[in-house]
Amino acid sequence: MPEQLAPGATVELAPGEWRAVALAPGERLRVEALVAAQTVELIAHRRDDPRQRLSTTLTGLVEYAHQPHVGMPLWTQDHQPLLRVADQSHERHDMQLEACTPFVNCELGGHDVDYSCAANFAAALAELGLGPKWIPYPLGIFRAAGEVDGGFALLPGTAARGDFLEVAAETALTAVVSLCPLRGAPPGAPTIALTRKEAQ
Amino acid sequence: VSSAELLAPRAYCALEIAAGDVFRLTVVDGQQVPDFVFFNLDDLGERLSPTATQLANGAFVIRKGHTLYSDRGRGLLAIRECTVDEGVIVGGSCSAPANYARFGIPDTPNCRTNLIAAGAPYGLEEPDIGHIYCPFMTIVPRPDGSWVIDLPKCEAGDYVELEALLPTLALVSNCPQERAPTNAYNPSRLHTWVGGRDEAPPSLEEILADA
Repeated sequence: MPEQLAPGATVELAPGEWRAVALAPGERLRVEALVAAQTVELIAHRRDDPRQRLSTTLTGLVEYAHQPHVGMPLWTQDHQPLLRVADQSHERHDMQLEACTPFVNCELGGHDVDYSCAANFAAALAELGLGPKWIPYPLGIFRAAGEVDGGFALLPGTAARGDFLEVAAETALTAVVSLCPLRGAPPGAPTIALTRKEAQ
Repeated sequence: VSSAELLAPRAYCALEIAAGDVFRLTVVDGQQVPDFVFFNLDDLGERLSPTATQLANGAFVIRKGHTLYSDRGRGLLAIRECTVDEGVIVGGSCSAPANYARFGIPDTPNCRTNLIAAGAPYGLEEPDIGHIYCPFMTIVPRPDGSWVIDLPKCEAGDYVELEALLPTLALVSNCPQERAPTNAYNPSRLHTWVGGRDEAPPSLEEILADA
């Protein structure tokens, strides 16, 4: 289990690594690309009732938007407030795909690795007393999918070096950030900086 | 032995489909959409994966000839026929909270409640039923990458036919949505049939005669 991220602290993570961050209301979490193309998956669960979790589907339906914009709330499956998009360098993120799995990794010809965002989230949720079925569809930061040669496929990660997305907690919650091994740099070198920022 | 059921508007059911058997869902009155969730009947921890299905088929819209994949990368069902060239596969369904947020009316009938009720006898609960295949649903992409639901194009007699590749549990919700274009603002009847691959499913005329 990775160590908790202290208020004001920044940690650099490599593909396949993850971090759970407990946020108080108003605190922010900043995800910043250290290199181009790395994608990041983010989920969140309320602290007072961890069954209440990020729902990208409900958010998309009630916000009439399938990409996050600054000021946009991110809701739970029961339309309870969870996060708000506080700032970002661009809007090209995914709100429709599931967390990556070993099957998807192999299907796409990815690295033969034994980690995935789904496995990372499962490990994080075990600490909350929740099984894998409680993994919601993540906010796919810098992730994109769409038409490729007339079909549907993952697109290269949308991040350039320095791109970022920052979310603010609307309630006390646990956010889990996983650096997707798909389409990323080889494991080893840090590709994302994760910062926990105090309430503004 | 085949089985059949006429689903009233807003109703739901659970169906067990042996590997190799066929499941046909027929639109009875027209412009009506179902929500399906599927599980490996022998291991309910293995379920339909919309993302694996889209990526493995290389398709955003799911159609005839595609396979519905599980979260473990195995084929659950093959789409033998779909007489409407539309099919959405997403991570959630209409729900009372979403309807309240969109339309301001509490406690509306919805697919999430239906699917939870259909899965309850199998020990399934709310987080299990968030992976949806929605044949006949029409979505219209917008330039910003989002999409909106439009009127369905299916008419009475249109159907989707799936062959089980594994023993399958199907949960079916006859979508109750009446405040969005999903079902042309008028939920109506659907018909389910499960039988052997060499058996003949009932025609619309036979369904109506038995109704």
